[in-house]
Amino acid sequence: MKTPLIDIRRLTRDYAGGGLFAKPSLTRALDDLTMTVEAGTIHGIVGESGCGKSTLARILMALDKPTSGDVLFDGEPLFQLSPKDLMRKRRDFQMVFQDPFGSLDPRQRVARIVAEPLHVLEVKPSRQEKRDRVMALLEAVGLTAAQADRFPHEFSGGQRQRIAIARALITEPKLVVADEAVSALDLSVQAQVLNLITRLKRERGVTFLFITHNLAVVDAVADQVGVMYRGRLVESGPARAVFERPLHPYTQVLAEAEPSVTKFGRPPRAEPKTSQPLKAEPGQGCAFLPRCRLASPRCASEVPALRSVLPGRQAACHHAETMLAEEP
Amino acid sequence: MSAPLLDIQGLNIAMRLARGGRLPIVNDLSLTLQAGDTVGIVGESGSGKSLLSLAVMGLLPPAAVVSGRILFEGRDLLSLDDDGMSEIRGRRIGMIFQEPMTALNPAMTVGDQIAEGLVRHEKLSWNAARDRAVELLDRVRIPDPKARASAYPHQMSGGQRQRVGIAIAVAMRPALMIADEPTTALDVTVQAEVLEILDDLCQRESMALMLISHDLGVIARMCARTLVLYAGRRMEEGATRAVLTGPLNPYTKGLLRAVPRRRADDGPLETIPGSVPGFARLPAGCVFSDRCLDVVAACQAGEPAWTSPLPGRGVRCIRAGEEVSA
Repeated sequence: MKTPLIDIRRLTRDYAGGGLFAKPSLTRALDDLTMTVEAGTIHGIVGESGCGKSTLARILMALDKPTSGDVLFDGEPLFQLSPKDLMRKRRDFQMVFQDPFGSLDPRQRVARIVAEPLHVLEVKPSRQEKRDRVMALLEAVGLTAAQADRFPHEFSGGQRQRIAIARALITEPKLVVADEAVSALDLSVQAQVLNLITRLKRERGVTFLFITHNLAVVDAVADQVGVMYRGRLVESGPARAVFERPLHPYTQVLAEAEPSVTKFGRPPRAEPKTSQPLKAEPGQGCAFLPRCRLASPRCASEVPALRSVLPGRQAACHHAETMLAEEP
Repeated sequence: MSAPLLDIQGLNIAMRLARGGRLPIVNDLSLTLQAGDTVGIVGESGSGKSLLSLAVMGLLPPAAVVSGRILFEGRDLLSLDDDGMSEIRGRRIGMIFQEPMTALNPAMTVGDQIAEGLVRHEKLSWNAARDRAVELLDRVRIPDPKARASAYPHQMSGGQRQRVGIAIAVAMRPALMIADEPTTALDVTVQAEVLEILDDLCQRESMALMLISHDLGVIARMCARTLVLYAGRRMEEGATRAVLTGPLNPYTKGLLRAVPRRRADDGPLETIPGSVPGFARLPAGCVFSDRCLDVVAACQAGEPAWTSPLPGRGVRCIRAGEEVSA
């Protein structure tokens, strides 16, 4: 079997909280997360704010260290590399941020912004070579070479996001992490940027980790998807299958809550829960329990592990088979 | 039929430029709302949708030059002085903003922020107003409202803060609520809850709602009618279901096609070519003509008039007639 590009092994990240006078506390942003990303795919990560998806991005970019666990990037453990080796490795992973207005230096020209990541390269390209690569990339993302000497404020949001993508690609990375990269864009340009990402995957074999809260966007472009809840991966599989037939009740909740141009007016009310909501002891049981329609006593005492339910499909739910048996 | 609650006629808003001259933004905008109506204003950035809401609230920046009429409960808001406007604003017209963190005062408890308006407009005592604030927090489904009333905004989640924003806006039982992208910053599940709370309040208090959003799904969920804006112009108006299932203007059609969805053949997603032009660089004739897939030479000859090819529908497109007869 082929080595996955990214092999995330039991990744946990705790943040110390509590103020100067408050009791110290630990917040677990990532909880024993294991997943793989195959090279040349678009891998979506969805979940609500606080689910740990941005922490995951920071760790994959080696901007933050895990509390425990490791990430194998192309077979190499990222957090056991020497600082020098890590620096060398950085050309292989780049990032595109959400805000196309905040992520570009307003005082630099586009050519310089796009060329900036090249400083991590061991062998620095010559000036002419740099310029050629910038021009080629600008054209690859749908801008013109003539725009290289302009400043960011002269561009629209969609064009700025193209500049950010060009900057991410300049070191010819294997992985680009896109954290809510199209969320701030208008509908009419959002699809243009999504098409660009799909094309870069197809033509250049770039792997994208596409982090978003927007399921429709992931459904439109991702090959694989992982659903996160409270720092854990609760479901993963091929994007189309996951959204057509969720195996975790949380995925279903997300899909049903998403507004759509084909759903008019008030959605049918979920049947009110009759019984007292079950509560899990802290550290035990399923984190989704208080919001789950399938909650059972077992869910309060036993943390559901991520397991294979169907070929290629995993879910961390004791009742995944119930989900599977239900009418879609 | 009774007089409409809000009657906007021929509204034009231009911005005075520092280097002299005026830049027209909103052009020939008309919109009527009866009590209890829900209307969605759809538009991308640079469509003028936020200026429209600021105009109704009397909060336009000083550089704005306005003409036309905004009649609210029979009074022309554009001719009211500051005192007259502040009697209406907050009291008869409520407003909910996109970013609940910046819209709230960080140094005041949320209970007091809700009570403040009641003390000022309804002349309640602070004690009575604080009691009402707790009731209002309960109405927007904040758990343990009595304790939460003494919390500060930073102690709440984004969804809770937006509920506080709604509680402040509905405290005075306004006849009209203007909500500008009220759920854009929220997670989908929280968004669904906030929309349901807003929907309940509209129905129970027969409050009219003007919901401004770029999210067509949110409009479909909340609004009986929809007005589509582009570059400061109305492009299309009608019952939401009719507009979203049978759009007449190519811009509306393009927006609907651009909604991300999986393609069966894994082909590229449909897009609208180009991007929203700046107001200083609008094309001649129809403002959408430079991006329109159905453009003909006549489109560039002059700005199309607003027409009503079907009952209850309005559209700005010279080719809309072909669409209707087809």
